[in-house]
Amino acid sequence: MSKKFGLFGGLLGLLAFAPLVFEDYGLGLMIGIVSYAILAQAWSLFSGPTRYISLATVAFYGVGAYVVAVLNEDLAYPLILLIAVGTGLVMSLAVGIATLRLAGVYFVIFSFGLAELVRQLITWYEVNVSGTLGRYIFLPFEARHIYWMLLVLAGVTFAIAWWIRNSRTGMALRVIGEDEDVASHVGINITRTKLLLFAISASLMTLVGAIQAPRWVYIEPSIVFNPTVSFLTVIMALLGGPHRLLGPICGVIPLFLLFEWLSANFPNHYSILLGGVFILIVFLLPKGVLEFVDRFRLGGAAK
Amino acid sequence: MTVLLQTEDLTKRFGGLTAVRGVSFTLSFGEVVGLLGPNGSGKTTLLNMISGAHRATSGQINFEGHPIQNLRPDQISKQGIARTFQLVKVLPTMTVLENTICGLAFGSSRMWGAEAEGKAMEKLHQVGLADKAKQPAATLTYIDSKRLELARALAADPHLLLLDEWLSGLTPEELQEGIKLIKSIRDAGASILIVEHIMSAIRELCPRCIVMNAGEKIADGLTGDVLQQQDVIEAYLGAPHHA
Repeated sequence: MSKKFGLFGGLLGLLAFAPLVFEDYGLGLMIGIVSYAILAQAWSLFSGPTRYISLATVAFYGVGAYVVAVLNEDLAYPLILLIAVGTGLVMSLAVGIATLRLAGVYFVIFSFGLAELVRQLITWYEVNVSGTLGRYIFLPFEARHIYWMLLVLAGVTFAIAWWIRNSRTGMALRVIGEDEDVASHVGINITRTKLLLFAISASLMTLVGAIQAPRWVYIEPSIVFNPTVSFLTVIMALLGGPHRLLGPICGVIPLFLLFEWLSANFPNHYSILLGGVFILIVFLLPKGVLEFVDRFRLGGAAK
Repeated sequence: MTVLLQTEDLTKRFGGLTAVRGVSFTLSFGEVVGLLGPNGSGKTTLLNMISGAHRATSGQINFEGHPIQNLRPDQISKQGIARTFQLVKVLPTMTVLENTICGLAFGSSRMWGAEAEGKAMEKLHQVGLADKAKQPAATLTYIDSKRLELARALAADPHLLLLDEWLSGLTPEELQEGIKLIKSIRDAGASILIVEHIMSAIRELCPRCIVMNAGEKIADGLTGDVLQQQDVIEAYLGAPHHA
């Protein structure tokens, strides 16, 4: 196990040198990949075992960015990040208490609506109360600083994911995902377990938005609450396989590069192509690419 | 004998339908009691109230002297009540061993790691599934799924075991095996409430039984006597003048 940890730490260390190798565009890609790796991993923490498909990713991500936008001139940056996590935590607990009783498609629709609701609320507040629609973020960070912060967060996220998988809480989540009746009858407090994981997952998403915020310089609700972020996160996690520790990252790298290429070469048809890719993935690899590879290997071994 | 479980005037209504009406009974420590009655007589609803799956509309349930009628299933499980389900519920993508560990990790025992694995293997030996420990539960046959459910329920050494038609749907040979298995659990000193349709099984396993009909308790006593009772026979076969 310590060998795996060494390998993991070594890989992160190696990735930390990326800013020395890549130019601006390359580093921008790396930032995107690491961000989505965290989002997809955080999403899988909760949604992988419980099978609650959440489209609320961007609600937390956007709130993280907004906390930074509002406070960046008044407080020290580490303190702002702390406040961002706190905001994500409180918001996810409130939302979780209200909604985690919803099952299946109702939760999907609610989570999608949540992101829109938060966006509309902030827009309303900015227009009617603060009298502005956009905000500027002036923080002395370059792309590489943001990249390094994200890399640390990625390390933390993967460590949390690994730890939960091997813990009692991880097993509780899997039991809940398979059968809630069994879960409650073996002594699992379903509401508390779901809430805990939803909150951890949401806090990590909020941090991604907060760390990325200085990249934009100027933000407004339509920029940071773009629903595509939620959809991309889901499809990346699903492609890799949200039940596996390394599933999300296996989905993130190819899809992020594909979407980058699509948006550069087919800017007008991007959404249509995106939809096509979604459908293909869900039809062809419903359990994720790692599951597919495993089945192929095991199938070969059996014969 | 010490009373383990006691229900008092227990009633459950679903809208206009009264599924269980004013049922009172006691189950003593170490006792094995059969609960029988025709389909729809309220047996499973009664069991569901004891395990917390349904909340009683009115009445009391005392377990080891504490009222449990307002607790959630996870809280009741921590008090030491375990159950199986009428429609067998195993966790298909998890292994047989993991399914059993579920019974240990969260309830009254809260075991984890190597200790939990050891205990789970012990229970799998007891029900005869040890050699399938590493298989996903989805690959099990029907009777093996039932065995697994039993292992999960037994895992935490419950003070009271609720079996909901655990023996139904088995072939005659499997039924004999099943009865033997439950006998071994009974002889080890467990307290069990058995909901069952199969008369031969009830006769073999339960010295005492309770009969329900249309939501009410109509008989409670030694199995041999109860099954001779006129109203019990009528509840199952219909009254002679209706025939």
